[in-house]
Amino acid sequence: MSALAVEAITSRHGLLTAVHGVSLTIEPGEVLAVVGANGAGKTTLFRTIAGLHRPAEGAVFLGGIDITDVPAYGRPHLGLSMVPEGRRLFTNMTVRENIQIACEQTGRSRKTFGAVLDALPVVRTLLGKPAGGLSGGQRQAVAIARALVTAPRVLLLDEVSLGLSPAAIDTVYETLAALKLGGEAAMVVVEQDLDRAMGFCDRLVCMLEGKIVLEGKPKDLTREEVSQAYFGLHKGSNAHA
Amino acid sequence: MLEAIVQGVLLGGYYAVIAAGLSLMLGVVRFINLAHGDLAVLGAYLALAAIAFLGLPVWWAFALVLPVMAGIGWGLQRFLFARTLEGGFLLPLLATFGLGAVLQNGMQGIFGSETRSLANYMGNLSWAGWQLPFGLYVGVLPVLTFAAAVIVLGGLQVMLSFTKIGRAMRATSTDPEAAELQGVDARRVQRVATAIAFMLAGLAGMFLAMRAQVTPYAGPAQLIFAFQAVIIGGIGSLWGTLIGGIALGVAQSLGASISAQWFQLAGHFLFFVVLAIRMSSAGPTRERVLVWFDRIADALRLRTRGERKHAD
Ligand SMILES: Nc1ncnc2c1ncn2[C@@H]1O[C@H](COP(=O)(O)OP(=O)(O)OP(=O)(O)O)[C@@H](O)[C@H]1O
Ligand SMILES: [Mg+2]
Repeated sequence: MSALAVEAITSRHGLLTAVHGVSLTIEPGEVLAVVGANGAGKTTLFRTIAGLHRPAEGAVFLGGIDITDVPAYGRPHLGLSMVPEGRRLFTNMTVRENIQIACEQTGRSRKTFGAVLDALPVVRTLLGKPAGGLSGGQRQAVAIARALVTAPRVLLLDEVSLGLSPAAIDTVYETLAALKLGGEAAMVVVEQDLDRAMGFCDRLVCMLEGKIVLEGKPKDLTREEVSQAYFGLHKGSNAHA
Repeated sequence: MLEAIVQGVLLGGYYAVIAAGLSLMLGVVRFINLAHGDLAVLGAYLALAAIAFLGLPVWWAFALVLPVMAGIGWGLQRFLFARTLEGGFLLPLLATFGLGAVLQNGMQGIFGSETRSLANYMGNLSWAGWQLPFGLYVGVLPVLTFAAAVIVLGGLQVMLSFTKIGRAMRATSTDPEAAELQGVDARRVQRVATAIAFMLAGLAGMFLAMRAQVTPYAGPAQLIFAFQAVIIGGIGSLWGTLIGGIALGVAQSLGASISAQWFQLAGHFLFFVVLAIRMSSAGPTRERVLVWFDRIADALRLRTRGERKHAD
């Protein structure tokens, strides 16, 4: 059974249709990269899956269960967690409290907390620090820890590397690669860096104006194809003119 | 002088309790409740009604008011306030302004407009006191009020710092959506915060009616004092609120020792001075003052250091 299935989701912001009939499935342990230009609807799709945005049409299934009507706060408990665009840590709290909140609200154990710290040693050194004073890379690490402590079966990561230094991006992807090896959680990542996305994922979808315009395994896609889809140049075989 | 300061400090306990409720709603729900003072007065009238109509013993009546106020807060947050929050910041102001008017007229309709006091029901507690050295005399009631204020604010601070619901409140206060992503039912948390704020309003109203007379129209003045205590003490920290309440009480009390009219004026004056310092565009001076505020906040552990907005 798929870990996550999105069926014909349409999401609007007022009159603007940001996501238009998108369907996706992700298998357990799979890593899916979502790419697409600014405004393509990636964040809206993620927010709809996480329950922060109500879809106008369509349904979301988690492990085969229809969660379309489950409120956002009920989803982490069921195994769906999202690292939102901009991380959005609780800046008035310590790193420990940031992670503790997710842990206690979803009823996970101290053991899970410990295991997450083992997987992200850098976070252990930051526990007592206020989350407001961290560097971008540190913040992303804490946001990932905060999501992992809910023991997700599906982890959504929006704009993984936005605003991070190249070194910090490497570190974040090392962490994610280790998670991928662990193989428990399926991951869906939004990544602007095409090479990065193609190098890391098992499968890639490209969104354009609210629709999926290209989907495939990285080995079956050329960079050329992907960037044409990204900029909307691929329509039909004679669109290159 | 010493007498005035002591009385002012004790009076500050009352202000701290009424201000804490306002501050909690500001902080956690991001909601400005203009009916807060009227709700305090409602608490006093509910206590009076429980004694007069239900014939409850005084302390039982007081104990009953708190859950009733909490229930009212919960219901209003659920069915009114949460909806107004979706309509921008003006709507909560209008809605609670209207709620205040409804409460004032409703209380007048039911209880009439003559002044009332809980003091009549409290035996000798309303005038008992202790004679201290240096000719100081302190009333039992003001001391009890102050002690209750410290316990209540301390309890709230402990709750916010060390409990699951407290962490959920702080998270919701910074970012309700991000809180939901961690499994926090942000709307429920806001209801809990409002329920607590209403209880604090009710408690404050009963304290008020124990030491003074109230009328159905006493609320707006109490709202102003609550706002002043919050602003003087700094938004978002309960110990700051206690300090703000005490500062306001001392200013009023010192003012009153000059002349009766100066009771309120001195409080307003302090409020404007603090506001002016905080908002003045005097450049480095302003920064220095703000850093100084931050340092105090740090020292008292009101905030984590990361929250500091003003670099040293
Ligand atoms: N809260 C909102 N209100 C109105 N319109 C919105 C809102 N959020 C997004 N949009 C619009 O919806 C469309 C899709 O935006 P979305 O943020 O989902 O795209 P994105 O692919 O995540 O873009 P980016 O790469 O910039 O993050 C855009 O046209 C955007 O302007
Ligand atoms: Mg986005």
